[in-house]
Amino acid sequence: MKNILKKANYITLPASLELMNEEKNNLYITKIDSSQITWISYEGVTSFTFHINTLDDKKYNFSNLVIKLYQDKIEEYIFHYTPTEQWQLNFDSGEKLNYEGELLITDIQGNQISNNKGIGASCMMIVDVPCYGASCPCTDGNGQTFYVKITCEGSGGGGGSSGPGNPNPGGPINPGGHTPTDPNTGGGGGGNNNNPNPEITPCEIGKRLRVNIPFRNTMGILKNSAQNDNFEKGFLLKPNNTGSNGGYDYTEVNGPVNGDGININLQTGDQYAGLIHSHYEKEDMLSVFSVSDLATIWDMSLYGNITNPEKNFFLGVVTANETTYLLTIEDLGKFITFGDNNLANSDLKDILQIIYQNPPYSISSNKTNIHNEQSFAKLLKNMNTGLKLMKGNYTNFYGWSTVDVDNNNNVTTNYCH
Amino acid sequence: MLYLSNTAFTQERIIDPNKIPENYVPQRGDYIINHFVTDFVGEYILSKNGVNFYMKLEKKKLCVDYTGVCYDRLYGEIEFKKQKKIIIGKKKIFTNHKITSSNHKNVTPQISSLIIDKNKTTLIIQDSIKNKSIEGILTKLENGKYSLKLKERGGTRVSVKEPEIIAGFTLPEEMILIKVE
Repeated sequence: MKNILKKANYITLPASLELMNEEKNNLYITKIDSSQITWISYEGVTSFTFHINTLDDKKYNFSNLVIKLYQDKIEEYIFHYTPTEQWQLNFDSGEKLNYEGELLITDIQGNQISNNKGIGASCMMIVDVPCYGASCPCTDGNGQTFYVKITCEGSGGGGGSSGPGNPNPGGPINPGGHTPTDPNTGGGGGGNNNNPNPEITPCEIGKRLRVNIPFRNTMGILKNSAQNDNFEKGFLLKPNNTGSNGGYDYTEVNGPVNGDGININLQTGDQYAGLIHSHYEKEDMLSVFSVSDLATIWDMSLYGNITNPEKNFFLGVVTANETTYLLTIEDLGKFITFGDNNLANSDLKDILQIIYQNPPYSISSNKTNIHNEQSFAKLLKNMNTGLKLMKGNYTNFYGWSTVDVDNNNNVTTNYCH
Repeated sequence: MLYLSNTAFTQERIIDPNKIPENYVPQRGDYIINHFVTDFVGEYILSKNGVNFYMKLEKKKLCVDYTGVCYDRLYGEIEFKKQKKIIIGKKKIFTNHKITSSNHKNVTPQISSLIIDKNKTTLIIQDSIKNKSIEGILTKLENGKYSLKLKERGGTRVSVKEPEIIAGFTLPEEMILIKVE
């Protein structure tokens, strides 16, 4: 499988495998059975299915990890199967029928993506490839390539997504023995959208970046820089028309050695979809976004250096405090009002700094990560900034959660499924 | 938190930073006080080797128009002479006790505070010669002495034309000041 990834220029391992490599104790996936892998390639989509154990696997009859590769993206899902008794009896007696029962699909951290009860998949494939040690016939030691042409009558439903077509929208099949896989997760449909760049929600931005390998790799570069360098590193992300490299061309921008911040000189008319940067280990560096980071969005917006629609723009940070966040514009009107009153000149920015550092927010490099995160989210909400904070997975930048503040000023994080 | 009524028009709520409830949200009319601000109020001088520096800090009440919340802040003036020649002259901007953020729209104080902690405050100082603002860390030492250490201001800056960056300071990088009682 590693060979396949190498050939396809995937620098990063799928997060599920990367996490298992790190042997952390708090993982949702407790065991991956790599002795038997189902490998399907179909019209540019490749999927690998592993039988796995999870922390809550007593709730299900069996669970499979599905890793799907297409274009430059890796997607990972866990399928938890709880078949009907009749289906299980038939399966046990060797009668392989369309799956019937409950199917819960989660991400690799166990967060629910969808739950289909009584699903009856109409396209059924069985591709079991046993592979045991030295006797393994497979070229890379793990699995064997199968080119499977399938015809689905489609029970996946959904639509509206402008993603690639779903070769297998009907869902899982033959869950009993490392079954095949649904390279997609039942969405499918491939909706048509005439607007090439429609406004999307903060969570949608997070979901897209989750599976954008070049983006995750670049965040990895920032992580390395945050931990080892003594300057701020950044990248401007400019959309390319080809869709290559995850859809963005990256321009590196670095700050001065031992300095705070980066001087970014932009050309009029240059438009960027994002800016990501590091906060390295330094006395005043925050574990969250600084006032000057907020001002950066404001200035880029003011100078017309943000792609249209502005709501799709994101500012990212990776810090030496082992935090990573995205900031997006959720309400442009509110952001303009906020910026006009708090970011329009250096004195106003200083006053915002006073608000940052005074109670109740007290955002400072001396405070804990969680304090700064919650206080920053509260400040964004209470000051009506129109900005939305998202928290990321520092290990591999796979997955983002919105950091939300309710009307009682309580903070919750909500994973973007 | 202490609740006080003062003017006939609005009720001011004084917020003690040591007694803030967990889910407190600043409301219009709140005045978040700082217990350390008065420690730094006063006049500071340095006279050494033909260099004379004078700094005066006053406590004022900064009210943010956008939120309606007020804070304690230090404002002041400085003078810098070399061989009796004035290099930077005193420039008092704000005379009222209450300052609003809109007062800052067209004028910039010569010196103002950013963070006020116990024994240390970060000041923003206008370097009129180099036409930029710098940061000064004023730290309380022993025997009425204070250290004022300057540094370039940080933060990410975006510009659409090549920024003119003038490095260095007109004032000495570090000064040991004496607070005049």
